[in-house]
Amino acid sequence: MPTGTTGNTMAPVSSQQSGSSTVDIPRQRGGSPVVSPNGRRERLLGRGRSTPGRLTVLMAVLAFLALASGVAGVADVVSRDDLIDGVADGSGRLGLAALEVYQSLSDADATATSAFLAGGVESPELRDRYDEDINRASIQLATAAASISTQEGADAVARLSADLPVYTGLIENARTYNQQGLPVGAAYLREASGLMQERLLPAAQELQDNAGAQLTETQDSAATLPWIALAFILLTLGVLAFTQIDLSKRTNRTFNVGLLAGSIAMVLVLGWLGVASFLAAGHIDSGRDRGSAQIESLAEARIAALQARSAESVTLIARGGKSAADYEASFVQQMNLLLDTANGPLAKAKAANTDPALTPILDQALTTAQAWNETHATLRGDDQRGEYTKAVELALSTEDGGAAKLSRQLDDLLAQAIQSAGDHFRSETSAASNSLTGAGIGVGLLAVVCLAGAANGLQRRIAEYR
Amino acid sequence: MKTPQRASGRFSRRLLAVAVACGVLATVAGCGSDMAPELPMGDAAPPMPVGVQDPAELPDVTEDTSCGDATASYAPSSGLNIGSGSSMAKIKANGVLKVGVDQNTYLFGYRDPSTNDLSGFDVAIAREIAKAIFGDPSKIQYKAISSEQRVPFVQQGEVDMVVRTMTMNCARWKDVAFSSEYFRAHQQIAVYGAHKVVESLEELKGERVCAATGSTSIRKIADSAATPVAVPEWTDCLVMLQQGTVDAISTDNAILAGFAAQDDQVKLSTTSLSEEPYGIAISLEHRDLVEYVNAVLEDLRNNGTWAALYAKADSSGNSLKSLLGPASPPAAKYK
Repeated sequence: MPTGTTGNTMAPVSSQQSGSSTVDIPRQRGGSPVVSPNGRRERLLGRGRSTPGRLTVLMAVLAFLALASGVAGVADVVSRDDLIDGVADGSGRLGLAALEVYQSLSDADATATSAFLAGGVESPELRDRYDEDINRASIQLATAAASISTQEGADAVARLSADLPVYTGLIENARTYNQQGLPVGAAYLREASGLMQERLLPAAQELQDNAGAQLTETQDSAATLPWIALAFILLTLGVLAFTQIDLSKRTNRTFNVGLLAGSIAMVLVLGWLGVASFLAAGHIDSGRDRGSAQIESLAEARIAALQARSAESVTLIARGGKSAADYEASFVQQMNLLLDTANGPLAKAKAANTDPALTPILDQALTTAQAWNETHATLRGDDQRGEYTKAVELALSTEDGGAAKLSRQLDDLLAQAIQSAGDHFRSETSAASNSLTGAGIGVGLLAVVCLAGAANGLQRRIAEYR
Repeated sequence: MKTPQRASGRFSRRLLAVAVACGVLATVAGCGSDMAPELPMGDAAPPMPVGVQDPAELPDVTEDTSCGDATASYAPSSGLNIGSGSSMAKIKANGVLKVGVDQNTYLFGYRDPSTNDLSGFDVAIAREIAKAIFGDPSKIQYKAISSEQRVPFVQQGEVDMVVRTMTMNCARWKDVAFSSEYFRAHQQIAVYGAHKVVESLEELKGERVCAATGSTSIRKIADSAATPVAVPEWTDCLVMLQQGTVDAISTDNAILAGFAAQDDQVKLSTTSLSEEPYGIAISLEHRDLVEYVNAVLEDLRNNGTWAALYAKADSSGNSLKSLLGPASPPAAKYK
């Protein structure tokens, strides 16, 4: 091995032999003409055959790769940050808004019907609750309208926006007639509840499905590995390694400080980007599994409970007849969903739950639903026997074992569970965002360091041939 | 050797490489172009009552006069005596009289929204029958049923009787027995607001006219030039009339008068399109109960109870008398 002096002494030798470097010979394929009609290609090949030319090409390739790694890395961090913001603010907000719309509408219907059942002028408490529900549904509908991006979702929002004022109009009619003691009020309430069940709630369901799918999609995108950036980084590291091995063979120098610095910088890029996106993906996944997916199951349970409550009331308001039987069937359907310990939403939420604080809440929700189902059977029996007043009293009872108390209890428990899952979703999403803090700038700067190191390292070698 | 030209050439090539790299990456990183969804164009479908049939589905029924006078019932042979083993004795043993009623028809069978109590003429008649059997008018188990449930509920024994604005006719006599006539209604036509008051269904050619599913009224509408719209409950007709989704309602004046009492804009015709004799429907197998009820009805006609119930005002001050004018009980006819 020659001495480790500066490359200047060797430069003339290399320069003279540039046309027939031993390394380049195998590359020259037999039939390939030295002078090609394509001047540009010839220049590149000719340059590649000489050592400084070859080094220049390597430098260009490294410069490109380092820059590409940097740009891809930064782009990944920026877009991932955007996606996480999207999970938190865009599709996440949309998903929560859609759920809120669905829940508020269900609650409004349940509240309006049970307020009606009480007869006369409804209690201020129920009136307030109904007003709040409509208020929340309208606001969340506007939020959903602003961030929905699918055609089906936009159609669902449009149908909801069109039908909600019609629903509230019917409810006000029902209220007015009821306050005057006129039986036509009950007919308006039936019509309003029918509109809710047949048009509004299905549209809310569709919006929720759409928003949920949009959220899951964003979460999936935010939790992917940065493949493009990783490919560029690994390629850069490969070319850096090749260049260094190649150089050390040619120049008898084991290390090129610039290239070494560049390599270290690129390894740091790899590490930082890898760790940051791995952590972010973990938080996003946890935010979905224990957060948004949990909220979906819990909200499904809550909506089933609210619809059961409103069916229970309307069965009594319809006062027998064919429609009453239909509403009773709807109660049974929703209650079966709640009590389904194999595939019901409560069972799903319980199976997916990892939060020990939530377990007793979910268990209590199930027992409350069972107790309510029993009370419901009692009050249906009363109504069937013609003891209408007794049935209504039990339906409206806020005493222990009363249907009003049990259904409210169930709703509160589920709301509490949804709140907790929502907190988890938000904290995990924000943790995902935090794990990317500084990654953009860091990766960008390190890529520039890599570029500068590689360029500097090779520039020195190239200069030796001049 | 190092010419400015070469240096600048190298520089420009490097610049080119950078530009290409940036171009490639920009495409890779940010190619998600968001297509905004199209603005939806919804059509505004007006709200409709649950279970509306528009147009109404009609059973094929031809006018049936095979029974002769449909208002003729079985003569009370043993008055108010309750023999052992009779239907009344069984009801007494049950401790409660099961009656199918309407809970939505103002002044006939309805829940007073302010008290949640069942009120109305039909309910009062049922209470008088319970009073005769038990000595206590409250020994009743009410079942709220729709128009089309009346016949099957009696046939299947779900109720002992149906007192629910039910027209006696020969077609129904084949399935159930009727008591003597306890109220005489007339089919009339109600329109709303600025609509011209009409005296015949022919004047409503092509217009939408509402009645309850399974009622005699809906058949009469279908036989005319008007378009029938059927709903599960009578009050649903009033809702549709108020919302402008039907142009008129045609049914018994007893029901229409209740609508007019709830809304001044409901305008009634004066011509009777048909006589609608109301009877209490009882199982064909319980002839003794039919006779017993007829004996009760005889008493109500004769002791002034009928007239008192007809004139009894509800919490809003409305009575059948104030809405339909003075009337006397229809005379009983027996086979």
